[in-house]
Amino acid sequence: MRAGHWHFSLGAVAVVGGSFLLPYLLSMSLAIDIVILAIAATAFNLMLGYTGLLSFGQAAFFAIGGYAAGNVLLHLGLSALPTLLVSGLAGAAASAVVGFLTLRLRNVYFILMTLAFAQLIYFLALSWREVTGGASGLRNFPRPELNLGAVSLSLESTIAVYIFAVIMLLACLAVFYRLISSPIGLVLRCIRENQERVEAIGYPVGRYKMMCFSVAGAMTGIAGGLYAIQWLIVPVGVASMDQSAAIVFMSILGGVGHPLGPVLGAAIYTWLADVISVYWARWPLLFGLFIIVIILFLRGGLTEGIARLAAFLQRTPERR
Amino acid sequence: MDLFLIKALNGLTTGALYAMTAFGLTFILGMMNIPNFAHGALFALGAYIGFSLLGLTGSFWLALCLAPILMAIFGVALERGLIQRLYGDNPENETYILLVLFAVAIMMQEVIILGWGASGQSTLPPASLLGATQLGPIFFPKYRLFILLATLVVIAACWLFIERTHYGALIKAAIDKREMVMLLGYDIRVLFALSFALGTALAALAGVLSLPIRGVHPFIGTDILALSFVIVVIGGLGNLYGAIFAGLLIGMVQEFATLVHPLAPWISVYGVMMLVLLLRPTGLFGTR
Repeated sequence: MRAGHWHFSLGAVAVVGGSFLLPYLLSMSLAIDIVILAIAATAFNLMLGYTGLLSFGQAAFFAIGGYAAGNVLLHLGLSALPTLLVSGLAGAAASAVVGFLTLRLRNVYFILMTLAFAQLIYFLALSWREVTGGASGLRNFPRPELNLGAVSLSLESTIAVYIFAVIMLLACLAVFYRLISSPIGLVLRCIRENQERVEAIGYPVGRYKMMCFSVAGAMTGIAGGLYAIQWLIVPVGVASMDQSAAIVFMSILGGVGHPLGPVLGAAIYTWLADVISVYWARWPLLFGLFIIVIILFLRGGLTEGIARLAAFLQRTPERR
Repeated sequence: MDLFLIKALNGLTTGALYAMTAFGLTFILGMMNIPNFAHGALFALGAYIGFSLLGLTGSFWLALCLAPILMAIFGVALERGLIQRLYGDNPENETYILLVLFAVAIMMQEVIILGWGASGQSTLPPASLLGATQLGPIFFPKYRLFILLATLVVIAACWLFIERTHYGALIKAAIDKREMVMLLGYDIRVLFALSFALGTALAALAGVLSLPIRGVHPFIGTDILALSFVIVVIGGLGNLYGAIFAGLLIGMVQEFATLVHPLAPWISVYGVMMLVLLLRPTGLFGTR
């Protein structure tokens, strides 16, 4: 457990340090996007890296969180934290429904169904204009205040939104760490390794997977809510397959299985996308190639690359 | 009554194309246990190549025959060159093969946009199939009848191949018990390549056939992919032919749903899917 605490502290320091650095290196809105996607990617990591569930439809829960937040802000004018709570609950509810229908399928068919459901929700978002604004997106909702009981902070400035987003990221990471270092996390990892055996031992695998899926859905929903708060619009594109693919790829890029891998991946991916898309609209072509190279040669993503580099540099001549 | 007949035939026509595509997908899925995430992109690229061949040669028939062959070669190259590097006993490999296929699909989509532009394309049916013919009380487009016929012929040919030839029997056996077939001394890699080629060719053929009736655009791949997945799951897991029935069913459901509401088609498709998932999670004809 001591090692676990040490890693957690190190991870927290890395994230906090990185988040201090980020606005100096990149534009504020890009930095906020990175933080938001890092939350979604961490949720994805919980599913794939720790439970072995590949979901190709995370954008659906991201969008649902965003639409929930937008509608709540539009009609009820809640403050920031209750809004995010609603986003999280919406994401969790949606993933519970999808999970109920799909988790009992074999792994391969589960993956297919997550993609199918994501398309379903995308079409729903396009058509249900009263709730989602259709193709033009949900807009005209106000940015909430951050109401902490005694004091009410305005989120009008981008730096305030950024700090809020970073705090939410840290909170999600804390929940994530707590989960994976707990006995539940151990069971999840066992499910990833050999589901039948875990079932044979007597664990209710279905319930564990459902819990994992719902937590991931809640986190992704919160990310979507933050997106709504930051951009004050929820375009239908956030529910698209491209967005789901982006979440998958940035997590792979960073390294699924390492707790902070996807956070790193979100940063690198978002930054690269922003930089390269200026020069070439067809940059996904390069990125697809890049992902293939990573899967072939560096499956653990950038975190594996860093670990290997560190191991290489640590080797001194007399140790060989 | 006339409307019903026309609707039914239209539904069967689109259903036939869905069935063909999904059948190809089931092949690959059954044989190699990989959901081919590039299947939709293969459909789209096949259609675009058919479009270009049509433009180059002026012959629809040539395009129809050549495009699937070219795409099959591409499929084999993809499988041998890329996918086979990821085979292994580790079940995690399945996830990575899938991701690689999806990355390939994205690359293919970009290539399509680079090569043919971001707007869609469509063509007219070949001259011999223009116009409509009388079927009892109604008039029905000749080309759509051709699609029905062509699908029937192709599926029958596949059935003959699978059920009545040596390689077909090997494929069936390998889908059922891969290790056994390997132990008997057969090179499973040939079977893999063959299955992937066949699945790809079917998708490409469906793509070319769909050019005159639905056209094609670079982003159609994702729609076809999702739809094919739904059809495969509805049709039944572990059953090769279930996908055909499910494809026809979905085509019919979509067609009749438009009578209710413009948006009803896709709602009904996913509605059927959720119903099947609730009541019969192994699919309508599933065995596992």
